[in-house]
Amino acid sequence: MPQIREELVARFYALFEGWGIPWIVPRLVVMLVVVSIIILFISVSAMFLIWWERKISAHIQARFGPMRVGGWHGWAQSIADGVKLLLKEDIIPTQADRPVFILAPMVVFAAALAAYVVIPFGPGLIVEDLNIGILYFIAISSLTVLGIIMAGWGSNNKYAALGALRSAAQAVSYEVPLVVSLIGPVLLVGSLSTTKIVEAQRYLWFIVLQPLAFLTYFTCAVAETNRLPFDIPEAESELVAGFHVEYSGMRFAIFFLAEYANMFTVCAIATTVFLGGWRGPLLPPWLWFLLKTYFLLFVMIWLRWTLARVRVDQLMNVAWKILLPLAFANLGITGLLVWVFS
Amino acid sequence: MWRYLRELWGGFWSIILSMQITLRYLFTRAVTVQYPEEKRQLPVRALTRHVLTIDLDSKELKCTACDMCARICPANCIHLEGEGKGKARRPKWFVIDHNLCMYCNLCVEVCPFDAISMYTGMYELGGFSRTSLVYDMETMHADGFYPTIMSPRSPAGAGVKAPPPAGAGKQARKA
Repeated sequence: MPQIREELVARFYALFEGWGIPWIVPRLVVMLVVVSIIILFISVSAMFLIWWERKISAHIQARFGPMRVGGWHGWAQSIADGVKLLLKEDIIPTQADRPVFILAPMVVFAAALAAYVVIPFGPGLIVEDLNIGILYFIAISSLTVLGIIMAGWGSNNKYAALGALRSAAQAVSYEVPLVVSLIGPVLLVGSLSTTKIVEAQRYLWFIVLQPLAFLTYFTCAVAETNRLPFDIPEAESELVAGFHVEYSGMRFAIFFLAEYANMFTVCAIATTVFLGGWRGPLLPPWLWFLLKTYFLLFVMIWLRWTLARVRVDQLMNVAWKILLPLAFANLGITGLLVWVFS
Repeated sequence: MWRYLRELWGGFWSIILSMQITLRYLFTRAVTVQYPEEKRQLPVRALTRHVLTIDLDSKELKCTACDMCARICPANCIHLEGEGKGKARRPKWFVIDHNLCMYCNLCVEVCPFDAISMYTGMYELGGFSRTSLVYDMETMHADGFYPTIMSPRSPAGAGVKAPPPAGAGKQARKA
């Protein structure tokens, strides 16, 4: 698979070189194609996830959820919703900071999109196997909060500003245990490259060796994506909708898309680091990867409809008094064991 | 330290337990009834739209136009006029205005001949005008219904609804 891809790309480059076109053009074309594929994947998977979440939430509450649109169990519901959102009027409040307001959803989505570069969907099915993959993911994922602060500030709305401030506090707090919990598996592998991490789990998934790190990471990931029980940046009962109060139509749709893209990213990284990535018997690697990732997404949705929202002070308690000590304990023990056994 | 760990474990365990409960609910059957496609079984004596019952032997209305239902009706929604004398007395016209009816069942209880019934299962009475809720005699025995208090189920098929004729509203106003 990677050989075929590389050969195709090389032939593509050679073709343009033969025509005497500067080297930057074919590279840009290849990038554009790859980005389009990723955006397509994000859109489809986000639409599926929204439908899935509505179904699961409904069935947990002994309801049916969407049943009408498209015939079979309302499968076309998110397509209809997406079309509706795209056709709506684009409203920008007069008192808003126009450029910031317009740019904010793009920043959020760009951050969500950029993280897909290091997700290994299969052997060779990765956009770019960076040797600093995990570091790159951590850096990019904390860029989302910038867009959220821009949205909150640009809206010129007290609820939006409050939501953005909460989001910043939450992201800064949970970033720390998230990073520390990811260092454990990285210590075991000795590399930050996502492909190498998956290959190191040939015999044993890291969830067995690092259960504490997995739990810490997963909790932080739920908090990073602003989902219940950590959704205080958009707590409906207090802040109306938080940072995206003033957004409607297409811009709101982009926020929504970015949220689900982020969910997929954190679950994909969890799969890569702890659940053995694409490894599994019988089925093709990419299917294994998607299965594991969607299982984690299911757990995330399941958690959302089980737990109530935490208070702001409880949120900080969990991050600094529970998750951080646990992550550091895990890091210390892992480091010690790696030093002893090597 | 010990207390910290115990609380941590307690919190973790309570999350696991509550997730078990939500998982169990995920696989229970939804209680929703998908209304137009499936309908709930009505209670046997649900009070629904009126019908005038028909005597099975003579194929005639049982109603003798004694006016008792019209008199007892608290909402004053029944209007009728009889013709003929003695045993041959039958209603000339009979109108129930369902805009006013409060489903108290008093008309059914007071009727000496079981000539009027509300155990019909016809509850989809929505209409596009108020006059469409005014039912006249033709509408109220159109289905050949003869439900009684003792055997409320109809062999003629419950839920069959005949549209009210156009003149129904005019008759009500006249009365």
